[in-house]
Amino acid sequence: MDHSPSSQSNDDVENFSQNPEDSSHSPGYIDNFNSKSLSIQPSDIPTKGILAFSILCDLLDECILDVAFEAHRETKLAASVCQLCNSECRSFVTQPGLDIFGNRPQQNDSPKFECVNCKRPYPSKRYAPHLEKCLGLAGRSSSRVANLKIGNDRNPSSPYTTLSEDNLNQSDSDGGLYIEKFEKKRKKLNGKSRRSSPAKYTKSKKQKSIISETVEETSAFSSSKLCKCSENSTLDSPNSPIKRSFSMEYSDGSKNIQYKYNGNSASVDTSTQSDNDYIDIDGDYDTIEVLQTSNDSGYIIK
Amino acid sequence: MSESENEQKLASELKSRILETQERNKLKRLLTKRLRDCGWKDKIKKRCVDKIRTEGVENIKLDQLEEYVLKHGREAVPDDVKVEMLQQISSYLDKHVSQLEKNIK
Repeated sequence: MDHSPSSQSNDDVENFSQNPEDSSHSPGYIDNFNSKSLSIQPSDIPTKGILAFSILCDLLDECILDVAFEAHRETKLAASVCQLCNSECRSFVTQPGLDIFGNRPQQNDSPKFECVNCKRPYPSKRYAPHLEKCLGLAGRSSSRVANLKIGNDRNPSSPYTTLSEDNLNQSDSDGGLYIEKFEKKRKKLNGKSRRSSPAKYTKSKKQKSIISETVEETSAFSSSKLCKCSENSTLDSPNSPIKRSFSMEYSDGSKNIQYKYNGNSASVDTSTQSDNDYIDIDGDYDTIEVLQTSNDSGYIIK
Repeated sequence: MSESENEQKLASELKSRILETQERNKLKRLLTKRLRDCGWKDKIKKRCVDKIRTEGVENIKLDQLEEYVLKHGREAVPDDVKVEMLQQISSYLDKHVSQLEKNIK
């Protein structure tokens, strides 16, 4: 099977005829995707649709094979003994409803007790902390919440409640608190807006963000998160500028930045190395000089 | 006919153009994302693993696995994913076919 991305249109016909599936419930031109034979001759002019089809087929085959290789690799590694720890550490359970060791997740068999205040069941470990919160003895917020609850339960005309009688008549018992918070916020906002005009504020914010970005980038270079830094350097002659390209992969595999630069100027190279984003540090093409340190994985940027 | 030759040339140009400009990577990433989100990937992976287990991990040949999985994988792809990808690809082709025609002529 031809997997080369730039295959001629002749190959498309072979691809189509290799699909043995007839069953398809899909409408329109998608039927062709699964049909046994197409009335297309190699001498036909490749239309846009056919070209798009063939590109999609290639992409799809690639994806399918990726999944297949991944699955094969996992099962093969799981079966054999790990080279580092000499145990079967790569095999784990992937059944739904079990954890990776095969154990059932819910193990709740502790004795539960009913809270005297709110009548809800709690395991013994959580009983005391819950009771504190429930009775309002734990801290600020819990005492407030508990007082509200008490206020609701008691006689509304009692003079010891924290709510006024007007608020109690409303359906939402938190009404008073909400108004308090809102006032506080309003006062805060008013103070801030008086301090500086909007234009000034955004400008300074932009400058700060640019500075912080560059600082972040330079610190990221020397950060310990960096775990893979491979260098390919080509030296044409002793006098020619040193051309180097290297790529970095962070430990969580999320970023893959590739920089290419010669001795005098940095350039973004569009040569085909798949899955790399070419970015410059701050958007313009800076000059970067590289000093090679003793170990190949380090570098200093002036 | 020079007409059809031209067209074929255009077709292969477009294909290689797609690869060069990393459009293919973008398309592939989109496709993997869609396939993962709709649950196709897990289904196919499970099928693969089952097939491998039935054959025996030592005995399984990659060719057999390839053949098996390509057959089932293609038809398991949901239609809306296929349609979306085709739309994306054809819009890209629309954008660039006029450019390339100029280059060839």
